[in-house]
Amino acid sequence: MRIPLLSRIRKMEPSLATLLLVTVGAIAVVGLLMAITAPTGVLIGETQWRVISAFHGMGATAFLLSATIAVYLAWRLYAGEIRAFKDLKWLTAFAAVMSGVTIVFGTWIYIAYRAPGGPRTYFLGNMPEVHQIFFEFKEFIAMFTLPMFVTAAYILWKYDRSLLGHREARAVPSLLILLGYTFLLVAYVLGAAITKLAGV
Amino acid sequence: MDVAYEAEPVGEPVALRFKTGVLVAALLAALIGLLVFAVVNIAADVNSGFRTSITLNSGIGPYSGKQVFLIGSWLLTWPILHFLLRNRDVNLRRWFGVFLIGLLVAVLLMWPPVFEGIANAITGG
Repeated sequence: MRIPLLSRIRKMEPSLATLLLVTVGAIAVVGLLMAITAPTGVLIGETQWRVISAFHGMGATAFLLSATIAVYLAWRLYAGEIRAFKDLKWLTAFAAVMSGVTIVFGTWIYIAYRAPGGPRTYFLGNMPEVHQIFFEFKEFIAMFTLPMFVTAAYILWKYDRSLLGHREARAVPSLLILLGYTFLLVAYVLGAAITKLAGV
Repeated sequence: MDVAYEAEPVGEPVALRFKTGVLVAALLAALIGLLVFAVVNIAADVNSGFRTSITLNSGIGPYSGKQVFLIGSWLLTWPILHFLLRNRDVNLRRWFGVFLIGLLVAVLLMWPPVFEGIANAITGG
């Protein structure tokens, strides 16, 4: 016996949009189930500061990933051999946004760091140089990433492909991305090391 | 991704869409913001009254005011410099050199042994 509806569905070509919708829906359902049932408190901690700290770390990691690809494409731009110029524009803009997001969460978590009994108290009592040199430098140098990536994104979007034929002009956003990436690496490594010594 | 294609040599130069002054204005504004950040940081170490006045949030401490100074001076000087330089073609190599030297100074001024040394020299501490 033939069931007309099943036959029709079998013959249908699923569109990419349908596939995407089904995939996203399945991930959302599984994610929701996991979020409800998993003991996430064990993983990230019970207080609100642990959640903010997790967002700060995830933001920094997303920033690092996008900036890593951007710095490779920036090298291609510098060498005058870039094809994926559009990718570089979007990645740099995304990295600039992630820099801002990471700074906002970092500033927020700084309240917990400075609070009585927080990591700063611990460091000043046990390892003063960790706060006085490494943490202070980390909080300052992290701020340098924002103007670097915002300025690079601005130049890439404003001048667009007209940059490609001008060696000096295309060197500017390329080097800004490289500098921003260097500042990001310093802040990221110091942040990870300090969190390992004493988290919020 | 970029590696999926063969390298395409850059062709004949086409004119930049805007004068180089626009680009230099963006660079100098970022540099001014970072140098202001460094100077405010030293000033906060030197003068406790100033440190208190820039403490916009008791939880964050004077760092909140330092951030506002950075963002404020950067975003305030950018449109001013843009307006002044937008119709000028300036020497990109020279001004990018100025930017790099200024950036190096800003980074050094942010290194705690350096800014604390300067603050101690000012206060005689």
